[in-house]
Amino acid sequence: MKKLTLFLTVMAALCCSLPLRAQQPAGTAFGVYKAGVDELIRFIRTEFSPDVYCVRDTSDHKNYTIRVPREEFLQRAFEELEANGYTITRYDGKYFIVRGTDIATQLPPGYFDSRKPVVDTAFQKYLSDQTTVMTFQNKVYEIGDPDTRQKASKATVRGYVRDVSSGEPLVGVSVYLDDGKSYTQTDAYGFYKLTVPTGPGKLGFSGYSLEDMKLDLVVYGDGALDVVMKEKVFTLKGAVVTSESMSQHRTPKMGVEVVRMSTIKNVPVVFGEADALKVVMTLPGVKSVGEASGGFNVRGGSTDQNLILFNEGTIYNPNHMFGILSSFNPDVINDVELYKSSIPAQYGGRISSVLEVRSRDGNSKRVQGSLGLGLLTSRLHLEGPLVKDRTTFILGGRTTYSNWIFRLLPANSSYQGGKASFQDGNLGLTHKINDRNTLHAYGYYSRDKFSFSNDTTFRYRNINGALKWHSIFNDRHSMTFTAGYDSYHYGIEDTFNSHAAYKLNTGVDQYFAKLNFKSSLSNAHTFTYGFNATFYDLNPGSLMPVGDSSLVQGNTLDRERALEAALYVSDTWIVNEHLSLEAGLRWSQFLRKGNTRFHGGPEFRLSGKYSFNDVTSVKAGFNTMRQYIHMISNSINVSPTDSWRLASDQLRPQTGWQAAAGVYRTLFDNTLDLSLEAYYKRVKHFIDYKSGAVLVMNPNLADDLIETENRSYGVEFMAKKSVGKLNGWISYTYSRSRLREMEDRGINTINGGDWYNAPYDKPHDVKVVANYKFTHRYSISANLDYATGRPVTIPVGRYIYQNGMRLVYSERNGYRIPDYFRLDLALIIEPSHYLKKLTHMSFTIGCYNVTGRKNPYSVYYTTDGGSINGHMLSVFATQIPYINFNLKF
Amino acid sequence: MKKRWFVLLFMAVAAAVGSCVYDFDPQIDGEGGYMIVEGNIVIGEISPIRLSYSWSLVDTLATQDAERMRILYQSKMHVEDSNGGRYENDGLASTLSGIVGGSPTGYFDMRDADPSLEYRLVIENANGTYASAWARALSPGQIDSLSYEINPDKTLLSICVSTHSDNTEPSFYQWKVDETWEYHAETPAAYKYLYTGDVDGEVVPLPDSESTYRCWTGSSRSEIMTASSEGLSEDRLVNHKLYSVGNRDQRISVVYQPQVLQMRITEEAYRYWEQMDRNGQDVGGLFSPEPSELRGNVVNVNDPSELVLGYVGVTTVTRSSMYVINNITRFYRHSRTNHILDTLNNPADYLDAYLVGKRPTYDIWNDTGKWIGYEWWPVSCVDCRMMGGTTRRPPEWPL
Repeated sequence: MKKLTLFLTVMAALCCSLPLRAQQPAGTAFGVYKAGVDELIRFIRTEFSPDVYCVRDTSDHKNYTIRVPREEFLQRAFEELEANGYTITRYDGKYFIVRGTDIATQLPPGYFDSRKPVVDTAFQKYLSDQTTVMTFQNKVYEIGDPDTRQKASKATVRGYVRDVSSGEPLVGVSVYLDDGKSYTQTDAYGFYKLTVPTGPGKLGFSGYSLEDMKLDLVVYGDGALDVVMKEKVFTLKGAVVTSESMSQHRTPKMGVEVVRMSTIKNVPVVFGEADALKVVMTLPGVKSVGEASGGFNVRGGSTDQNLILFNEGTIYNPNHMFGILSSFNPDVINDVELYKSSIPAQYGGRISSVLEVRSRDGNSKRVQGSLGLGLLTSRLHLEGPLVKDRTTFILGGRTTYSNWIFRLLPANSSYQGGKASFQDGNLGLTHKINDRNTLHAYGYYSRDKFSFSNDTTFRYRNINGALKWHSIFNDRHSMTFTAGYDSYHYGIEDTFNSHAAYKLNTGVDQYFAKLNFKSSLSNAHTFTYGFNATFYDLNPGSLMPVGDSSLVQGNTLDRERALEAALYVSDTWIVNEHLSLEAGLRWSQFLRKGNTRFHGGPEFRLSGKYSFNDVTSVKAGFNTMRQYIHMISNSINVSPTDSWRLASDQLRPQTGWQAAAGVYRTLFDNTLDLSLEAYYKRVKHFIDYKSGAVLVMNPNLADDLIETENRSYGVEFMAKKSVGKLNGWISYTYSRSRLREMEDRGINTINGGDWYNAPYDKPHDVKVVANYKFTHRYSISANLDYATGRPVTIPVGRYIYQNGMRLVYSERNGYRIPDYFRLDLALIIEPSHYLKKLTHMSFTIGCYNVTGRKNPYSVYYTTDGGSINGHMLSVFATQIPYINFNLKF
Repeated sequence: MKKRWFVLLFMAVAAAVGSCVYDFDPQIDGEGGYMIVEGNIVIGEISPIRLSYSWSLVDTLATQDAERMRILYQSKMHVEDSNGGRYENDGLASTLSGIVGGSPTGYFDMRDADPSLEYRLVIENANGTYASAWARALSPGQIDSLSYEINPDKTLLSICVSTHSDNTEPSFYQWKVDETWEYHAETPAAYKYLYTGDVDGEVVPLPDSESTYRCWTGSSRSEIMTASSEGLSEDRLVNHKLYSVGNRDQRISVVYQPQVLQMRITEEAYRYWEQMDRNGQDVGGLFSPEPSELRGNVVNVNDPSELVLGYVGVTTVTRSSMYVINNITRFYRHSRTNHILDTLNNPADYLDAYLVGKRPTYDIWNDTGKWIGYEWWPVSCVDCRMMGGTTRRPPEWPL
């Protein structure tokens, strides 16, 4: 097997200046005037044949002036070039122009029958002598052993795609053969594996904000091809293919959204803290109940139906300050991937979606970092090699100084003594054992503390740790093994009345192991299979007295322990260049300690794609899901006191299915992606609450819960432009989500057993995220959000009881609060673009809620003596300007 | 420990992000017409049970459905015990509630009722027969003490109860508070105006018996006051806050007497009252639980799906009261307002002053000691009865 070595560079990429082409009218003189060699070659490419390749000698500054009739031009040009020391070689209709040496256009004698190593041709030798790394645009690679006698018709090409400057693996880069049949994406390690037919071909690589590459391949057999790609510093005017637009037509998966950190950083958010979760909420099909709410609802699902994975660990509460910020440090995040429809078989345990948040690997070349200052937080991150090109680290931390907000409050108000603080920290270590084995270690910690008037304190924290081993057995088989620990705990301490002072704690601890294999048995079939196991250890509540005078009796609910295990297999089958299918089966089983019922069963994941051509596809999918853990909360928001409970004999696991179909079309040279997806979804055993339910410290919790079924459907339209000066997306969603109590409890049945709106049912939803780059230093971003008001239960009548006015409430969620509208703007200034400069500073100046609209979060009535007063709570009722400062070094 | 954090959290988060609460009218008429049954069957006392209807958000007493009210007034009520005993109501008396108009109320003499039996209320009218669930009275527990607590800002005075019962199971307590307080007119008066038939009338000394300086009045608290000893090591509550009054509240300006009525209720009733309280007070915040309607224990036997509001418990009660005396607490902040006072010495002006609502109070002398007239104050500053009270001193009033 011989690893390749032949690069040719297209001249066009070298030419930064415009050619001084002096084209004359036909019949008269034709040619170039005082053109450099670059311009000359470009001229030839334009006028005669694009297949002209030239390795420019950087010492060559000669100017060429050629003015002859057209039919003589080529001849003259080659003569001039030869006179100047270049060799022109013609092969297979292509011209190779190299200074000083000659290209062998014929294989050495006996090439096909001899098993002797082949001596490099003069040209290859010349190229291997070249030490200058040029802008890579086109390359020619030989893959496999050309001497091989085995004439297989297919071969596997594998390798890593890395960033040229930092050496970081590039995730999600599309790798495809121009025959339109073979397509893959790099995985989380930048690794790809693609089965291609032997013989010549063009292999394309494209990734978001990366310069596209097309490599000319000659494939003889299996081989490795590591590729470095370059960040797109300047957006070229020409058509640029992005991985997003390519992948939409290549993968059978539906409803997958990837958001890169570079996009996230451009989206204006409240207080200017770049926030991955808030950007996820700007995607179609993702809704939240209101501002400052950390939970999100995907396609009519509840907030606890989302599996939030951060480097494989489950994050149970991804919020700081109860949802004002997410707890992911933007400096260490690489990208966020949301699966809202086709959930790969390797994921399970939640009904609605999987949100994968991945941190970056450290820079393997040099130590660098960044510093950020915002209104609420300051951030620091450092990364670099521990052992060059082998072991890297990335370290990030954030802390808040938001206590100042409380100091602004009047001195005699009862907010005095209020304190809010949070911190989070990330650590990532990557060790490359060898070409085939990589080890990763991840650590994550976040904590929030909020105290009020010195007598009530809330706190919660996440701790996650994971070890991951990624191994490539051979060209066709690879494996990932992850083991880790996740923990989420919260506590309330209330010493308001010393005789009733208490602290209440709950928590989730889980240990997990995930073993995942990937095998490409042929060009057509790629199998993913493996095993997941999660051991849950939950503290559903422990109540402890605080202080000697407290009468509170210590009480701890029994811990809930269970094992969730799952086996899965799935196959991606590329049937032909138009049709590809993906089918997965997952079998999950839930064993709870002390319980007699074993919950479990199969889950199916099916999806298929049919492409009419490169720019038009249709897809359909069907999924079933199971969920064995429930979040217990009867507030509409994700609140710090939500607790998690496991399925039990009384509390059945949630089950659900979703059917979806979509049409995808790419327009304008692959710059604009249109998609239209529709879905229908049913969930059973979804939890709602009886009126007056007691959720805290209730050993018989199941008695206060009701099971409902959920029916959601919707249509999502999205237009997305990933490249160009103006980029972003516009989406419109029409969706409904309704619930119905499953059991008939007579007169107590909610809404008499009829369907009622889920609290996050917001039918119309328009979202616009746009970024316009004036220059490379200045860009503006806008974020627009319109949605129907969410349903609420409001009073419809009143009566007098015990001398006071009381309220009669409507059927559950029978009314809606007024519609929501918000526009945010941000100006992003990046003062320096010098790649060599030591530090880079950037500023973000923005305004949240530019129109100052008083968006209602809730409306409610209070009874004050005899009168009833309607109120509207608006979380951010005014413009919130912000400034953020970032320093990269 | 139960719900306080919801409110705190909401306020704190709201403060942190500069959120605001606005008045809002969602333009909903709503619906009325749910029957309300209010009152407990109190063993050992005369028990009033009041019937009424709910209104829509726009209805007033005047726009209530007359036919509906007629049905309500023609209701027949009685209380049954589990031995087949029957306690009749002599006929519905209309009481005037403080806020709206009349509603039919039945009175049941339960003074000789046997506390070991189960009781229920039965209402019959044109809409059907309504019955409350059978229940047996719980002993009320023991009020150990009443006390008050003033917050550090000196803005709120809270009435607290300490209680216990000797049960092994946790207790659910409910309190109702009748309050009586003394308050004073702005200024005492030594004189009164007397119309003598003469055009001017005259100012004469005011006998003590006619003084309108000290008044007493009362009301009942509308707060829903419940607590439980769930989660406590013994069935005992210490200094449990019942409700608070502000430092400009007339109640605590002189002497305030809350009379606390305590009963123990069932857990079901407790949940009902908690929910009713929460629905009125604790909704709309960032982390508030969703409001919801909870069924009471009165059901229309003919149509169980009909929503009937209210919870008719069977209880026995214990009472305790205390005095909160402002001379000791020094808590009251007097709101001073400026009044236009007239100093008059010409009898020809007296009737005019009287007719515009002024009253003579005391003598005014100038610096040299010369009498220059009577100080006439607005009647509202002189006659405490103008603020709704009576000058009849309750028996056993401490001062």
